[in-house]
Amino acid sequence: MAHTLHADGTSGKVYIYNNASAPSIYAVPTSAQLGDLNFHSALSYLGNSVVVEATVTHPVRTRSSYETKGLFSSTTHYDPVQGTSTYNLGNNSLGANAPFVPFYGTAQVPSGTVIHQVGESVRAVSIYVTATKVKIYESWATFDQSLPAITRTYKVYLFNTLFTGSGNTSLAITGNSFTAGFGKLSSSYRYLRDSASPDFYVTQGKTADVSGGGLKVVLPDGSVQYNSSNYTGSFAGTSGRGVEI
Amino acid sequence: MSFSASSNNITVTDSSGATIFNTDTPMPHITNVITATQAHTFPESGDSSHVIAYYGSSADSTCPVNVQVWREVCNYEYVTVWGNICSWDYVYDYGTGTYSYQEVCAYGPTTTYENVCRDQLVWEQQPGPVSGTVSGNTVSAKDHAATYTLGTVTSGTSPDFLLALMTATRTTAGAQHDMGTFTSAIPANKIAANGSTVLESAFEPGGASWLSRIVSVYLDGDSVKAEFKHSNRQYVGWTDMGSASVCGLFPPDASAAASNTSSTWSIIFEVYVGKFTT
Repeated sequence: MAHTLHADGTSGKVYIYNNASAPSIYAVPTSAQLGDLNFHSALSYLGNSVVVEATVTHPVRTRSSYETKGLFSSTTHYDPVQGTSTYNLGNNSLGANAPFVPFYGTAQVPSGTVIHQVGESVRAVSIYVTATKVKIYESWATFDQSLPAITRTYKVYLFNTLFTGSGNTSLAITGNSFTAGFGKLSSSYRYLRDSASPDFYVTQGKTADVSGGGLKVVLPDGSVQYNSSNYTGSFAGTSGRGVEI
Repeated sequence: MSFSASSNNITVTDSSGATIFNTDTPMPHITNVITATQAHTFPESGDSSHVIAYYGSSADSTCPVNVQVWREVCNYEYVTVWGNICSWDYVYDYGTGTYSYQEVCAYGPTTTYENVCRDQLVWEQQPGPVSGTVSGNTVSAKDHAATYTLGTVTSGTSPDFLLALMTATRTTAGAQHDMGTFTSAIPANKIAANGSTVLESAFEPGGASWLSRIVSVYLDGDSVKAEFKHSNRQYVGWTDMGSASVCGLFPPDASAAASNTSSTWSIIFEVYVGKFTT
């Protein structure tokens, strides 16, 4: 399939499309033409991706219990205890509006996922971003069991939203760099790209369902990440698309 | 860095030779950014009481009862006794015409005033039986879902994926009567909301979840939607949440305190709508 790289000398627009049609057709792309465009300076991209990876040791969470003594026996009682903690995973150089994909261990699981459970006692986490940091929020609850300390590795892919161009360079090719579309396409960035060996998946659908009080999580790669013993539904997930950076 | 345009392909690599751009490899772009705030209240599941235990005691001083019992009752009273009453008297003997001093007895009553004790049936108050009931709370099973449209994309765009951020606040936190507030690991910060997000969970002893709540951000045609979905099965708590007792043999009804399972969330969504080159 032919591809065309066009740099408009008047408007400065640069676009690359998957056919040999006249460039003027794609000067102002319509929604129906978006699938034809490999790149267009009028569009917005996710690039300059940042990867933050860190290992966190979640401390022991001790249950609260007390005993009452009878004439011939004693009884142990438990009090529910809840708490939260936060941990730094790394710096966020892309600001608080950067979309991101979090991994808990090796799985691209939903925010709020329970990562540790002993009986009725659980520990759940979400990764979140501030203007300068990538952090993890832990919420835990103990009842009849304590939660021993655990170590988990987290990875976060953050994306720079290249919505507005910078400078006035329409197209520049030097020995060290390639820049087009006012900086939106740059050899110094790392873009999301379709991949058969993806770093992660993106999806337009749901990745979890609840039924019968239970939860089932089907990741965009099709793997069942979590399925409660009492889940009664038939959720099969939504196929995602693998991408790499 | 390299730039090549040959054989119907355009490729850009960086200084280390890694491919940055290749027209044979679809690269997504963002077609829309949708921002919306949506509040949702997960409704009460409803609940009822169930009896954990009845108990009773046969001797509780707070529950006196009147009973007839045999008791020795003593009173001072006049007591008349019939019998021989004897005294020493001079007795004249007409045969001999002499007097003699001798004991003379005659049958008759003798009355005395003395402390007399008898066994009697008397009414007394004694500790009586008390009966009680201990109740727990049962949360009724419930399923619930509500869907909201966060925004729409231009018709014909046919997006391929969504990358969503959300900042969620649980303005009212539901709870189970024995374990407290439902577990939620959603901070009041920006988290990824790609696909589905687990908002709240609750677990039974042994570990099975009995309540789950999620929110899913997904594409439905040209609409970006958020679905809040809840499911809980019946939860029978065995913690004493209500008790009552009465004097007597028949335990009373005792209602357990109700659970407040409803939660309200307010969420700010930022959804990046993406599309690949075909």
